Formats: sequence, C-alpha cells, structure tokens
Amino acid sequence: MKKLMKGNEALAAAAIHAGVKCFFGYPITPQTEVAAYMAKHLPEHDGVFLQAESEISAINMVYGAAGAGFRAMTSSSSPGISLKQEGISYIAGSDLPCVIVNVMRAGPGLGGIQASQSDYFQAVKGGGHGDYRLIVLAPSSVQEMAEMTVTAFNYADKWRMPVMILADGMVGQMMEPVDMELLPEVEHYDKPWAACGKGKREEHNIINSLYLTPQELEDMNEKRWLKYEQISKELPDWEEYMTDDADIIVTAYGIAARIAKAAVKKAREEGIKAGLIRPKTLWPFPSAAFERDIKKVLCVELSRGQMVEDVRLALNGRAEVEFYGRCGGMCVDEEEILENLRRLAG
Amino acid sequence: MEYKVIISGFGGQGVLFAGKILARAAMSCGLNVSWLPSYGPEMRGGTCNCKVVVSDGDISSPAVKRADALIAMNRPSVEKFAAYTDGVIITDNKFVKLCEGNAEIIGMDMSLCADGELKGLANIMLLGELIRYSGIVSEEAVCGILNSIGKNAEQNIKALKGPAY
Amino acid sequence: MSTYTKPKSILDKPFHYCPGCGHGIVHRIIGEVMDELDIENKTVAVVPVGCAVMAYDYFACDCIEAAHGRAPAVATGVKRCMPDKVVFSYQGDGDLAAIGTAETIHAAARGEAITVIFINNTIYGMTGGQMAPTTLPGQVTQTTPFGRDPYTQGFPLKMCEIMNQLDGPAYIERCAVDTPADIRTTKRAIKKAFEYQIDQGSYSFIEILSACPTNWRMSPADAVARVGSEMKEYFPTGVFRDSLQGVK
Repeated sequence: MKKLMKGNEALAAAAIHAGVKCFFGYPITPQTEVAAYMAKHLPEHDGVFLQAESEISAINMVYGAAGAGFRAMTSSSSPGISLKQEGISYIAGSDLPCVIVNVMRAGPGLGGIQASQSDYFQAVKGGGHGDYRLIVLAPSSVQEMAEMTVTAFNYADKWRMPVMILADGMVGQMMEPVDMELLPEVEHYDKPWAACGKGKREEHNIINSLYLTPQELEDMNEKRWLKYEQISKELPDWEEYMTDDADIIVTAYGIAARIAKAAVKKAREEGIKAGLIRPKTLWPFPSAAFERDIKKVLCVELSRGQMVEDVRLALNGRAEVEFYGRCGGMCVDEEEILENLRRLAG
Repeated sequence: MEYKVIISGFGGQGVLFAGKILARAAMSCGLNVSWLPSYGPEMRGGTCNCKVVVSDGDISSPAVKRADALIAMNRPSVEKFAAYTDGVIITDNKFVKLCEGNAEIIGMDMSLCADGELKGLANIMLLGELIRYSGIVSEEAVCGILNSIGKNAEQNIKALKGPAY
Repeated sequence: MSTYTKPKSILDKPFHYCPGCGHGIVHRIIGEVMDELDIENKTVAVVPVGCAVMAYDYFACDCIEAAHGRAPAVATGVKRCMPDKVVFSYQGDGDLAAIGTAETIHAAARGEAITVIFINNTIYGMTGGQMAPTTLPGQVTQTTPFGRDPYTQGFPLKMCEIMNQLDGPAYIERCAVDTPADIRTTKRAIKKAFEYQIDQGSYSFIEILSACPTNWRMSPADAVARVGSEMKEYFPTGVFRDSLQGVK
C-alpha cells in the first residue's frame, strides 16, 4: 500500500527494514528528519540511535559498529559530509561496510540550505585522503530513496565497502507516495572478519588501515582496486527514456533528471528527437550507457558542472557535450532545458 | 492534467498540514502527487509554505515556479507569490487589493476562524474553497483523509465545507 | 613457588617500544587484568594513533585501530552494538587531550560503558617529540624549543580534574608507572575500571603518568625519576572519583 512520506523518512524507514542496527548522526538541514525518524523508531526494532557530539564522532561510531560487524549508518548534508571524510577514508581503508547518506545542499562553505548537486566530485572521486572509492547511488524520487537504501546495505555488505546515497534537499524534503512492498530483498552476509570479541575463534581479528610496509600497503590497495574493477563491471545502473532514435541525449541524475525528463517529453512534442540517460549509480559511472551512436549530449546538473566530466570521459570525444546547470540552491526548470534543446536541435 | 498549488502563511497557521491533506486526498484519488515544504531559517518566525503538485502523469519537479493556485494566509505570502500565480488566489478579504497579476481572486473572511468552533482552521477553510473552485480532488476524498486523522475531524470538516455551510 | 609468565592476553611478539617507555608496562598490566577477569575472548580494544598505534599486534583480543583522537567514538559504536562485550580505548595525550578532546569529554558525559586508559607522557612520541596538551610549563620539545610558555602556548590540560566535572564517569583515577608501588596501584586501578564496566555498566577513566626517555632526551632512569618528581607535582596521583566507595 502506498503511503505519503518525506524522502528523508522513507530512507530511514527503509534502513530499518534493511536491518540497520545503529544510526549515529548530528543535526544539519536538510536531512535532520532521518535522525528524528531513527530516534523515534530504531529503538522499537532493537536498534541503537545516538546523537553524536560531532559529525566526526558520528562517522567514527559508524566505524566502530561496522568494525564489530553490524549494519551501521550515518546521514548528513554537504558541510557535515566534509567533516566525515576522515572517517570515510578509514572505513574504506579498513574494508568496512556502512551506509552514508548525503542530502546535498549548496556550497561551498556554509553555502545555503536549498537543494544542490555540488558534492558529486567529493562523492565519486573520493572525498578523503588515499586511493579509494565509494559506491554512490543517486535517488531521484522518494520511492528510490527507500529502494536504494536497501540496495546500499546489500552492496555494502556484499562488497565490504562504504556506500553513499547521494540525494539532495529536494528529494529529502519532498513527500511522495511510497510503496514499501516494492523494496528490494534484504540480503545477509557472514562477517567472519568482524572485531566482535574472539569467542571461540583462535586468531584475533584486527580492523585496521595501517600498513607501514609500502609493499604490503600497495598489495592491499591493489586487491581493493581489483574489487573496484569487478564492481565497475557488475553494478553500473541507469534509466533510459526515449533514447532509441534520439539525436540529442540529455543526461542528469537525481532531482535534475526528473526535470530533464519533462523537458525531453516537451521537446518530443516539438519534434526534437531528444532522449534521457539518468545514471542511478554515479560510481561506478554507467559509461556503457553512452556506448552508442550519439551526436550531441546535454548534461544537466545543479552544480557548475561535475558529472559532465565523467560523461566526457565515457564519450571520449565521440560526441559533442554541452553543460547546463544552476547552482547555489537554484533549480533548473523544464523551460531552461528545453531552450538548450531547441538550440542544439537548430 | 497537472495542477500546482502554493500554500503559504505564518508558521503555526497550518499551511504544511493543509498541503499534506490535499496531497493525501489526491493520492487517495489515484493521482500522482508531490509535497515540498520550505525549510530552515525561512520557517523560524517568518513565512512558511509548501508546494503541492497533483498530476495524472509523472511529476517532474516538486518545485513550483508558476502556480495554478495560491492559498495565501498572510500579507507576505501575497506579496511573495501572487505575481507567480496564474489561476486563482484564495486569501483573506483584506489582502485582496494587494493581489497583482492575472489570477482570479477569491477573498474569504479568515476572522471567522479567529475564535469559536473553527478557531485556527482558516487553513482548512481556504483549502475547501480551493477544491470547490478547482475540482482537483473531491470534497469526499478530503473528508476521508480528515476522518482518517481522527483528531478534530468534525471541526475540520466543518471548516472545509466553509462558512456558507 | 609462582612463575612469572607472559599473560595469555598478550601475544608472543616483542614490543617495539623504547627502553624505559611506560607503554610496555601498561600493556602487560592490561593483559594480566584480562587474564584474571577471563575476558580476553569477549573484549574489543580500540587503539590510538601515536606510539601505541600498533598495540593491536600485542593484545590477543579483537582490536580496532581508530583514527587520531576518535577512539572513544569508535568504542561507543562497538559497545552500543554489543553491550555484553568489554570495550576499552587506549590513548596517548595528543590523541585523547588534543585532537580527540571532544570525543573524550562526550563519551564520558554519556557515561558510555567503556574503559579509557590514558597514557600521559607530556609529549608526542610517535612524531618525534612535539608539544603535547600535557607538556609541562617550561618543558623543551621540538615545537617549544625555548620551553613551553603557557601564556603563548597554553597551560597543560589536567584531564582527571576536567573529567571529574562530568556526571557521567563512575571511576576516575590518576596513577603512574614509575615505582613498583605505583605499578601495583595502576594494576589495581585498571582492574577496578574493567570491573566497573562489567559489573556496573559504567564509564571509567584511568590516567597513567609515564616516561618517554627518547623524546625527553633523558636516560631511562632519569626519565622515570622525572615522572615521580615534576609530573606528579603538576598532575597529582590519586582517586578522583570512585562512586561505589562514595569518593567524589
């Protein structure tokens, strides 16, 4: 049955459905409903909610809980996610699974609190120090906020790495009908590596990212990057709309993609052969979606142009790529995208 | 069919609630719907608004640049949104002369909800006028939602049906 | 006749610590306490960044290596998920009282059911001897080459005294490892701290004054003597709080 829910609340409800054991967070607009929902409902499910003294503490509590083998998550918004980067790097370096939610607001600095997509680089290129990746999922509806949260926990445990849900203030704050019966199946994985007390185990488990011998560290990183290669083959996911005969492809993710889709629809009514590619995984980037005969691409983002770099890499010069974006909390609208499509078609 | 509504007023006037009622009613009618609130400092002591989009197709953006209807419960809301409204503005009688633009203007007496049985229910009274004017959802659907909430259902339904009832 | 043996909770690996350093003594004490309480198989150690960064190679229990200063937050995450396990953090002065002050204070304020072991040697050892939050006034370090001037470089933090302002901790004691008697006191304190966690579900904070001959540029004997003189003068040892005994 469908229920009207805020994106942030649907995400939190889905995390509980996915068996999250603990949530550690710190208040920041526009994601605070996640923490508020968890505070109210997680104890009913034998889970732990704790408001940390800082974003840094929150991510380190996640590190501890994930290290002990539990499904753990934190959520924040852009400035808070910057603070968490140290912990995210350690979590990646220790091969721990966890889910991190960024309900993006506009930056840089304190920026603004309206929706934005300006943390793409930080999320997909590795926001902390060192060679590592996060799996990054980009929901564009409240339903996807819920579905991708379950997927995020499944991926995190399967691949033993942090997964980020890169949402934005609009998807987080808006209410839409959600059908919780459509959530993906919750997968379960053994965690023999967890530091949860030795019990009857012979050897002690160590959760660690320190390797003072360069060769040892290179080997560790190499192993991790082989895993990343495998993920890059298996996980890329995207939605297509009217791409079959399209001369112009609009590409956008998250909230911007919904608006772009409406613009594509209107462009078709005007006889412009436009189509949409909406990446659902931002890392791994769905480069395969762009392996087709494409003439022109318009990348639309709520930023000054970040994903557009991955679009260009995917196309590798095979098509003309233009960018249109708004930032600072301003949102693109259909008409603006349509004007760009008319220009590209003309 | 896509219908975009802005409901705006002071914090405490129930604008977010009225928007949710409209959204849930539309959902119960099998329509697609989105509800987007203002948030952050905007809500602290100042005006507060929500945007509701009702559609029989996909909803692209929950943000509303131009509205088909505005429910404006205070003066700042009229000043902020009237010029961006194409269809109808429903507001208090005393703000009618402030409304600029092309929209049809419906003035109501919000002071009817200042005291007595309908105290604090101007939000629902104005919402009732909107659904009668626009027909985007049926009155029965809204009553159904108000009944399902339970609390103050009777007064809410009275307010919804309006002073004329 | 009793034989002096290595605790089974300490692994058979030589410590990398310098001669005269207190870490080895405290590690051993923790190992003995884990043996005596028979908790090694249900304990998770959260170790710091600093000279004890590789303590996970010595403790036989499960271990998590935390980022600099974050051990109390990591320990919180572990303990909240597994209230029936024993969790302790092991931290130095830079880790606990500079970069991790917020984590230290707030884990204590929440009264997390963990044990915090704090090694105070008034210096950053791992990085080669820079000013620590506990460096004494006048003390020469790499970054206070003319001696620490409290009016430009701040006063040392007296952590037990600070922690004693909080309502969360059940047990706070400052000990030292400069004399056999102090070492015995330290062992009694650490054991009691674990017992507070296991029996009462309470937070304990044990500060241990310890020598760093290498970075103090002293012989081990002189360094240990400094613990007993200068350090104890500024950081008096003793029980600050022992809630079951009514000490507050």
